[in-house]
Amino acid sequence: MENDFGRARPDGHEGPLTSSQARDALDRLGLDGAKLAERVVTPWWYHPVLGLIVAVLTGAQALPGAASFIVMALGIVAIPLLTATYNRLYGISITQPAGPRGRRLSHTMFGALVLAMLTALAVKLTGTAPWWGLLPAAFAFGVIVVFGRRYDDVLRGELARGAGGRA
Amino acid sequence: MSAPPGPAFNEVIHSPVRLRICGLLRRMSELEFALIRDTLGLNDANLSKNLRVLAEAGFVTVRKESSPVRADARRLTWVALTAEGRSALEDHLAALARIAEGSPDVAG
Repeated sequence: MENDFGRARPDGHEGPLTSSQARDALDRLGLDGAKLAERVVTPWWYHPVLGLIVAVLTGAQALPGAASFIVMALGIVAIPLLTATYNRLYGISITQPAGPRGRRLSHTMFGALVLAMLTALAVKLTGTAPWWGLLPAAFAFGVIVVFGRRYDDVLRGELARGAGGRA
Repeated sequence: MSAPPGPAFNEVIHSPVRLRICGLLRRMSELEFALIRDTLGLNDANLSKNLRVLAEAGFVTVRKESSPVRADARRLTWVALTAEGRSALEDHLAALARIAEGSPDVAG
């Protein structure tokens, strides 16, 4: 493949690409990123449903015996079903943050959810009544609904800014 | 942590439409054909032609999926950058950035 920069012009003519043309190409990517960000919409039901599934997964840690594994298995199946439904409806599949703010927020959410699950597990291991597991489950629901919406706002912002910039 | 990309121009990617397609896919796992078409304001034939070029270069993958949520039973077409495509795009963007800053010494 010919990679001589001097011959590559977006308009197909011979001659070196000018700095102005390079800037135009990068600017156009920025505009496309902004348009794409407008299309990354999250339906109102998405985070409550995801929050409910995660809450069930969290609360399941506190359940005794086989009930814990059965409920967890259902939750683990439900998450990919939910994301696949979203992907098909909106034509978008995103599995990673689009920038540093989103990455930090996703790490914070992950840490909060691990804490909730460990708390629920402690309920079972200490022999406390299982219904105390509802507290970390409710916390996990709140984390998903509140931080999930915030995460989507950050994602849209980083998509709009980052189409042509450094990763 | 990965090293920053080295500037390297890529003529397959630099075609205006193909650069914009790759730019959209850059932060995404996959995008559906219709969403790319509508976001970039292209027609089906133009997008298909450019995706074929990118796929033949090994820069994107295209997969079909049935669509139970669509009444017309048409299939969804998902497009994703390959690892090679992602790397080539980052190198190409680095080359563009260098040229935009006024430095013409970009490796091929």
